[in-house]
Amino acid sequence: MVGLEADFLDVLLPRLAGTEIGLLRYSLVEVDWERVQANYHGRAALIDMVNFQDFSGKNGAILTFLYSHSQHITHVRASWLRLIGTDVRAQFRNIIGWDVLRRPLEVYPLWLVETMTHDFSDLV
Amino acid sequence: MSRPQFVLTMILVGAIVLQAMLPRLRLLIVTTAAGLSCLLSALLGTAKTPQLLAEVPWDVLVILIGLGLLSEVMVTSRLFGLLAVWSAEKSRASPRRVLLYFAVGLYAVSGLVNNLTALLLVLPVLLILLKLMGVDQRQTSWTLGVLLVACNLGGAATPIGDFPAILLLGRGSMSFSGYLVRAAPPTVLALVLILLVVLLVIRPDRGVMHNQLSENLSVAVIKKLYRNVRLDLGVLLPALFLLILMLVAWMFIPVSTGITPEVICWVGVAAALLFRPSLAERLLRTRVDFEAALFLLGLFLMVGAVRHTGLFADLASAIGKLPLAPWAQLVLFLILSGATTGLFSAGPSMAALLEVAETLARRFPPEAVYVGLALSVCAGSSLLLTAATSGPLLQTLTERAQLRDQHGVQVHFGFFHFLPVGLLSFAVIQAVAVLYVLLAAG
Repeated sequence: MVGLEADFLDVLLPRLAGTEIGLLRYSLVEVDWERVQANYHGRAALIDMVNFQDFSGKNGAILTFLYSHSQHITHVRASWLRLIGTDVRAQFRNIIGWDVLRRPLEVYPLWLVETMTHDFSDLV
Repeated sequence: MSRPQFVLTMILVGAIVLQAMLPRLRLLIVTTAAGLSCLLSALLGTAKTPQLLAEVPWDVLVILIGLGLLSEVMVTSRLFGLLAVWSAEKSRASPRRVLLYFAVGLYAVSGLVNNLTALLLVLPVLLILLKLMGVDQRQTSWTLGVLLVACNLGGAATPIGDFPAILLLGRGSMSFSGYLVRAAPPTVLALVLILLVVLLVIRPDRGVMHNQLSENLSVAVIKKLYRNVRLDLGVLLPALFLLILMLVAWMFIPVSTGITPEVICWVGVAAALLFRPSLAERLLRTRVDFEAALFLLGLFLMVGAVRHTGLFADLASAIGKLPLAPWAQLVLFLILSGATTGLFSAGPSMAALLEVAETLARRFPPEAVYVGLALSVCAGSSLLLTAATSGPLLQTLTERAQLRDQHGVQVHFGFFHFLPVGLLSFAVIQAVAVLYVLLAAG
């Protein structure tokens, strides 16, 4: 995590003291996940597609970054489509999308995919 | 050669060759051979085991373990990781500057901590940087190769940097300041010469496409990846303070007072550990380098068994009888020392060669012999990838990093990739060693 998302997480994680946090380990390029995790000083555990449901329940939430959204369409990373589904939506209290761009994309999003905006229970 | 000489030398040489061929079993081979040496020494009547154990230079092992622990304390402070990130930033991801900054940095760090620790701390940052830069095979081979050699030179520059120098300090062959003053300048000279030849003549980055945007991005990613690493001053400052005190004590307290280098090391490291008791207890239980200590103990026992047969004195005497001028005899010994180290690595070679060097030190200026030997062992350690203790580690970490060039082809770092760097470094360091000895011996 070295892009602008890092700035968002650096602000968010210290404010979630006492909350268990998992960082989904999924990327299309090779990532040194241990190094990424080390930046959070033990505040976030590394999770994958198999064990992310350990966080489900009435207090569980999934947060992903959005890269612009409209009323119907939202751009997310490809991993989101692997993660989300009807069954997963039912297991978590909130499905939160955090728009890190806050304006429409100007170029074709080669590394992003489209999803439905109503997949998210909350948009930030 | 007498029967005990032949039998015990065969065990020593056999164990050294076998451990070089089968590094995965080196501890088993050396400890078994050491036990056999003790048994046969007793049976052949040359020495009894309590005598051999009493002659083991325990002081050297104390210094080795003590400095290893102090290195671990500094590692916990994250100092070296931050220095590596700083080097990456300052080099601005330019291939030439990366080589220069990291080589000089590793030379300086290796003078204080052992080579394995130095490389383990710096390599993760460097490998990420190389991966982002998209280097090619030639550039990778020369960059990593030169870093390994810089580690060896840094280790030989100070009396606490690597095993050969620690052995000279621990056995009282040379004083701390005596070694530092004489060994540091030739190692700096060798490093400068190697860097000049590599950067100006060989030019590893020749043919690599430079892209300012890519270089800027590489630095930005590194900075972001390590953005939240903070220096733990609570751990670092006491450790640095105690290290400085130890250096001062090593330099100014005469051995005749009974406050010997190993006592200074023991007390200094214990004091540094007392500042963080919980951390210290964990380090003592889990991070003491018993592997190195056991390996060296085995070697010392085998070398001690051979020494009791009188072989080393005979070898030194044989060198003295060669139809060569005295200075040529000494130079021949140094070149043979370098070549032997290249084949068998520094630890075993230094343990055995020092016995011959001590005899030669009666005929030549002792400082010239000992520093010349340490430099030659450093040259030998830099000859082949297998000769340096940190060589296999560097190879493993590089292969694990799966570096790729700008066309996506995987870049490797192995025995033959290092060989050109090794040959150049061996020639330069050995030449500096010979030059130093000729000047020092008058």
